[in-house]
Amino acid sequence: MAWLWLVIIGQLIGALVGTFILNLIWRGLHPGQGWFGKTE
Amino acid sequence: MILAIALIYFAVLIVGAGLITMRQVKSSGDFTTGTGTGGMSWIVVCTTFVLIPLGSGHSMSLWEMATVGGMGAGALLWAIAVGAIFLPIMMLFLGPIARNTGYKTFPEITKAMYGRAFGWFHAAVSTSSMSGIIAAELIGTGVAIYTLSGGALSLTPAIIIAFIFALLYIFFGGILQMAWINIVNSIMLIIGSFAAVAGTVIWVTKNVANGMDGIMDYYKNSDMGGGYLNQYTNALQPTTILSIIIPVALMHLCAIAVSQGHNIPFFAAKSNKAIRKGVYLAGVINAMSAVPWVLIGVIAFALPAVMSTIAPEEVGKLIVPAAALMMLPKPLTGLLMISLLSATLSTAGSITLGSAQLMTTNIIKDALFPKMSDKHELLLTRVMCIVYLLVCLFMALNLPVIMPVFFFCFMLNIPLFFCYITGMFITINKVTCNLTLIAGYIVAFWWTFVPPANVPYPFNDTTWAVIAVSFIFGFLLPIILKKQGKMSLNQMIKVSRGQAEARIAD
Repeated sequence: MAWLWLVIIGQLIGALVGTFILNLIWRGLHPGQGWFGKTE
Repeated sequence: MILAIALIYFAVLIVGAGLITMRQVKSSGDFTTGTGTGGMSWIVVCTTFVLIPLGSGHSMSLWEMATVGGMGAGALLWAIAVGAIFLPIMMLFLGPIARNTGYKTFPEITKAMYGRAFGWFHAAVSTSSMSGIIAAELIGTGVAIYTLSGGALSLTPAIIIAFIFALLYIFFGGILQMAWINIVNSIMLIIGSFAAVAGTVIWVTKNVANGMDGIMDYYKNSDMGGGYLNQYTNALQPTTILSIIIPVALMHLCAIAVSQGHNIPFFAAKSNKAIRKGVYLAGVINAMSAVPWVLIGVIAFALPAVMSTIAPEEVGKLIVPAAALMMLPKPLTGLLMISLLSATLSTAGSITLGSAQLMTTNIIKDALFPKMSDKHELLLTRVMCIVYLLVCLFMALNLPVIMPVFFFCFMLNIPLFFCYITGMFITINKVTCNLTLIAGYIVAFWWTFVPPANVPYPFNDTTWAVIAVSFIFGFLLPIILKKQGKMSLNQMIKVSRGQAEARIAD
């Protein structure tokens, strides 16, 4: 049963880490705009 | 019974959303981009964009790769690539860039860069290249309906039912109707498919010796790379990465970045913030939505009781529906199939809407009837939805192979993508753009139909060859010849905004 949870949690972490890294790059390119973009 | 549950669910949802939204649609702009509603909020952009790239490739193809393809859980890396890399790139970077131009379609943007003829060409290539996806979605939906009917319906009427549902998904309220349906369906997608995993685990615990660990034992003792989870490492071999993962990912990125159907929520968004805000939710829903299909597939693949009910050549296609029919109570199977149809129909619906918009606005109106009234444009867009889906239905019923056609069509977008990105950020150079298209398409046809000998690896692969040629002519050459080119579209927009602001200040 442990393998099942490993796959599910692994996938969740993979999705969050990938998105986090790209969001970090976006923030680096748009300084001062916050995580979701304060200004337009 | 199960089929009836799924079909009644969709009929009620689609007609209900259609009736609610139809009154709000007064112009073609309302129908295709929801202009009259003030734009989509972040949650609507998020759920709509999550469901659009999530079709049969994210469900049926993955359980096929995980089982008969021998990849096991490694097939889920595809969903990580889509949910954690592709979606954030689109939502953070490419979507807001396209929206910032102020145009409502991609051919309008490329027309502003390279002229009218290029806009028509872009619309034509984009429309035809997406027809392969819809044909695949119609077949996928048809297979699900056929399986659920227990063979009472043959595949042809099942695909025709899929066609009707895909058309009705957008026909009454366009993007507004699709947005309503997608909010409900993205919730159903997760609940239905994970509930089915729980049902499968309960069945295995009761009926299989050693329960879920018994499934693991099967893979440890099989010749599938010495263990189920090891398939992750098998999928990460350098040759697999270079020959399959990178070219397929690049091809999808290039094709979808300039596809109207996939970018509809971005053109319809209220603001750039509304596009970016849902990025974590979108990434997680998208990546997780593939998990249940792969899990049910790999569990069923280890069970002789399920495998014995499917003809060997149909295992890849039917393993999950067959497992559901054996292991799950009927309402849960119905719920699982609602999840599957939510995935396939949303993709077919949105691409049909995007393609009908391009055929109506960017080809027929722009080239033949520039003075067409808005009322006629709306009517024609609806007619084009029917025409386009009928062409895709014809392909679904008659093409002997879909995937090679699908990939070839996708590849035709790579040169367009390079022209788009270069024109947007670096420089607008019509000569290098035309050279990119000519060279890219010569290589695409040549490598596909008469593969040349003695081409070094990896450029003997068509996708790599088209990417290389498009990169040289569509990216490097315009940089070298930057003095001959015009200002990029992004610079032009900045300059005109600066001038407007200066006028206001005066």
